[in-house]
Amino acid sequence: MAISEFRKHPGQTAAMLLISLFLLAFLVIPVVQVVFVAFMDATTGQFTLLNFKDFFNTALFRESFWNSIYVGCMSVLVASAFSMPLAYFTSRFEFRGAVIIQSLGIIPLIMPPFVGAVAMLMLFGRNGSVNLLLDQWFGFTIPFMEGLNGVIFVQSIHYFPFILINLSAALQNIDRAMEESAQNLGCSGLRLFRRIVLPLAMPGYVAGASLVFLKVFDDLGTPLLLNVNNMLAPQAYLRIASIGIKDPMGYVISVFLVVIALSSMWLAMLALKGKEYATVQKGGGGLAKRRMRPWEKVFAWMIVLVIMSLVLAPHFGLTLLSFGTIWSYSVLPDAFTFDHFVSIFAETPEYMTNTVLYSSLAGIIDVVLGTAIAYIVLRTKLIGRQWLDYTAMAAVAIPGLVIGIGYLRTFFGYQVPWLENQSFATWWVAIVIALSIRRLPYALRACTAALQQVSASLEESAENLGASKFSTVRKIAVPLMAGGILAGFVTSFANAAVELGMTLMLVSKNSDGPLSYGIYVYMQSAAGRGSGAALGIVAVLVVGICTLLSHIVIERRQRKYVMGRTD
Amino acid sequence: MNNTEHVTATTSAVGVRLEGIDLSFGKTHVLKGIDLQIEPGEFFAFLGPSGCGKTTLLRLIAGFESAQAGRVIIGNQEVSHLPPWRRNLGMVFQSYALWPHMTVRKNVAFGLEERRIPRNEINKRVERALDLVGLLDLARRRPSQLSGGQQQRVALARTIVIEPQVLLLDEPLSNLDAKLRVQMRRELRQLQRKLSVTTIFVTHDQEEANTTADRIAVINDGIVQQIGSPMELYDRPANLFVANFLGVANVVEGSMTEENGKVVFHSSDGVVVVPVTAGNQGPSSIVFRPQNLTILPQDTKPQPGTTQLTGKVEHKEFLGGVVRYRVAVGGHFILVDAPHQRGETAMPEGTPVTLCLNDDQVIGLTH
Ligand SMILES: Nc1ncnc2c1ncn2[C@@H]1O[C@H](COP(=O)(O)OP(=O)(O)OP(=O)(O)O)[C@@H](O)[C@H]1O
Ligand SMILES: [Mg+2]
Repeated sequence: MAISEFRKHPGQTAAMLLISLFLLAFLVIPVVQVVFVAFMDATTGQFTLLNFKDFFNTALFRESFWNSIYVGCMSVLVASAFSMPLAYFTSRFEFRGAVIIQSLGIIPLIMPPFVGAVAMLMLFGRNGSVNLLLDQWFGFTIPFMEGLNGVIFVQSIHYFPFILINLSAALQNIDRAMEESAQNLGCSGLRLFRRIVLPLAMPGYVAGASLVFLKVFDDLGTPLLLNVNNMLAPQAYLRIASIGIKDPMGYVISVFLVVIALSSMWLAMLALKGKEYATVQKGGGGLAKRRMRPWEKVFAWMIVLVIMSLVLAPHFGLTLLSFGTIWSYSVLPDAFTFDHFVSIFAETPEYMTNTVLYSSLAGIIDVVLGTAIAYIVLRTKLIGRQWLDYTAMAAVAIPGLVIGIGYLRTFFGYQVPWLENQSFATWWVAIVIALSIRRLPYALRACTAALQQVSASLEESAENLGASKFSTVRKIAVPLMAGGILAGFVTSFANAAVELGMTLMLVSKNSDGPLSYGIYVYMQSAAGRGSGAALGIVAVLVVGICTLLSHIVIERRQRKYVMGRTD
Repeated sequence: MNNTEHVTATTSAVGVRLEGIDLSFGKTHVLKGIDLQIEPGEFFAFLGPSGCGKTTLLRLIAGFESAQAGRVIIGNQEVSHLPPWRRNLGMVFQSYALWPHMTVRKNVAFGLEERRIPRNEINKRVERALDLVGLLDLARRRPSQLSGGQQQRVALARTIVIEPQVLLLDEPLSNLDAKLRVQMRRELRQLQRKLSVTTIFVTHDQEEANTTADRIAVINDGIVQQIGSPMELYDRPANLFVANFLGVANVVEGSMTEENGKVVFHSSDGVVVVPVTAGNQGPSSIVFRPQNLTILPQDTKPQPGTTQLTGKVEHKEFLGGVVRYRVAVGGHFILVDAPHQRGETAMPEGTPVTLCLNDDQVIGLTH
């Protein structure tokens, strides 16, 4: 029966086959290749653990390994320090600042940390605005940005929303009766928090914290731009970039990156699994909220304002940098100008045009694949269809850098037939495909959600009226999913625009680079910072507008869907 | 939070007194001048329709709400200003509120741990409480692995293990299916007898209140309408609300006058004239139950001590043990229950009938 499913539906089978091949070629093989090389003797091609031994015998790698772990943990710690009071204020008190806190949870996410890194250096660095002022008034400075501190500082400001959002949701899901029954049995104050509230909110916190760890651990752009090279991701990049794709160390590091990423995803899943403490019930409604006393209010507002200014600092700094003329050893730039914006559009418009081209193509590939996979998984009975979903989703856990290295290794030997001297790995099309693979999980989730909302009976009635499978999909399912697909496209587009780790590996010449690459290239030299910042502003605008758009689309869709259900 | 601060549990039961309780949420006046006296060891029910303030009153006693005016006195101690964790009252929540991250045993031990009781004593008391509710075997499970009835028992065990002065139950049976509800309310009643702990039980189900409670306070719109044993409330409702809320009632409006030294009720349209045993003159209503009437063929001879009413069957419902007729008498619709025997057929709609009302069953309510 199982095999006959394939025979009965040749069209679906062909689609599934094509997608499988695509995922195999551009996701599975490159990643497996990376792991393979890490365990292979470079000269004999035999299986070996020698590369790992070499890794641990090299002081620099050992240091990088511990630095990466240290930065990951510290970022989680600092991000928790930001999130916990904010989550506490919104879930425990009737607090006006709640709206601000919610926005605080989104703002950092529209800018990847590497874009703001240099701006943070200008504001918080040894000779940055804050330390200049501190030195002038109080005679001391704070090493916010010294070495690893800088990475931790920048990363935690950017990624704390993952903890904030998850923790707030977890707290809001606690039924008030959970707490009251403990009070009734004689428990109060900190003990109540420790024994009841904290354990109930823990799964949410762990999920958020492991996400932060994963993001920080994999990030390449921020340490590179802050000139912190003794961490794993920069080491992998520098090895491949300086010694070449034959050097096994880059692969060994990649294996570490993948393993750590997979384990933190696994930890997050474990934390949430079976612990759906959605305990709100009839008569419940979240934890008991009370009004703040005046001094509590002052205290809360102070904390919110401090965190808000930290969150806005990268954006603020980037704006100053992009409009400033010269900014060095001074609190603010010397003067303001539009020159940087003029120059990026005049001198390097290709960064923008490339971004639009790559992101649109990647977005299109993603929604086509996403729709097809969602359809195959939800609406057909083909065997192995779940694996299609799992494989596509696995891309979430693979750092961009690793995909980049995998592409180089796998496709470097393949020439594009009609172009002279053009390896496939460094052809711009490879960037597009890599981007689409990286963002496929997000588009796939959006498409799956959209298709789940379309009742299967609508399609069945079309088939009943004589429409073929293909035209049913085209005329019924896709139009009904349109909003969800659009949302998937927009997120995919926005995220592709700021992907750096992979782009750095694959871009072979500046004229092929997208925005993120341009920002990186400009930001490396002091003279290019202004233009880099201007590009950064463009990127932030693109991502911000796209995020807003997808929110609107999804919201409108939901409204339509809910109305459709009630009538 | 050390255990000397807790009100020490006494072995003998204590009473609960509420004096002049007034409570508003913003502009909504929820409890209006509540005065109540609950005797030691009593099983007392708050009964009333949804939204009347029962839960609020219970939460007030437990310390989760604070009243704008009035006092809560437990035993001889005023507790109005004590926080919930110092009151030593055991509350069972409507949702049970079992902590999902703890096993059944941990849930039950919680209150004792908070009281810093020695470990071996805790173990002993937890065993005893679990044994009492018949859940010793499930002690290692998590709440999510229990059925609704079992969860309810854990919630109960968790509460009684601390030997609270007063047990507060907020619609503890409302999440159970009908059959289990009947079984659990029996168990609850037995348990309460065994422990002889003063218990307050909130419900909107009159059958639940009637079958479990020693006395009931009927509450409507934040006001205590009447307090009494279930039978007293049914037989001598103090007002129309209580009459209607407990059981099915026929209500006829009119006024009472004195004739030949006897009080007689006349309905406004003069159709119903009934002698009433007690009542003041003036505008009033009478209340009688469907089973207080007999339905007979038209022109039956009057029996002594009854009042005859003539009408027409308007509608009938077969309820199993009885047939309930709706009879049009003048402009009134009167419900009559006729016991059903095997083989009998019901009177068809439109049949002219005579109703005999037992005079001594009529309740007069002066407005
Ligand atoms: N925190 C609150 N804020 C404002 N109004 C409230 C609050 N809690 C309860 N109320 C209102 O007080 C009234 C009484 O509520 P309460 O929960 O005591 O009703 P109840 O008798 O327990 O009803 P039910 O049988 O539905 O549980 C309701 O009108 C309710 O809307
Ligand atoms: Mg209630």
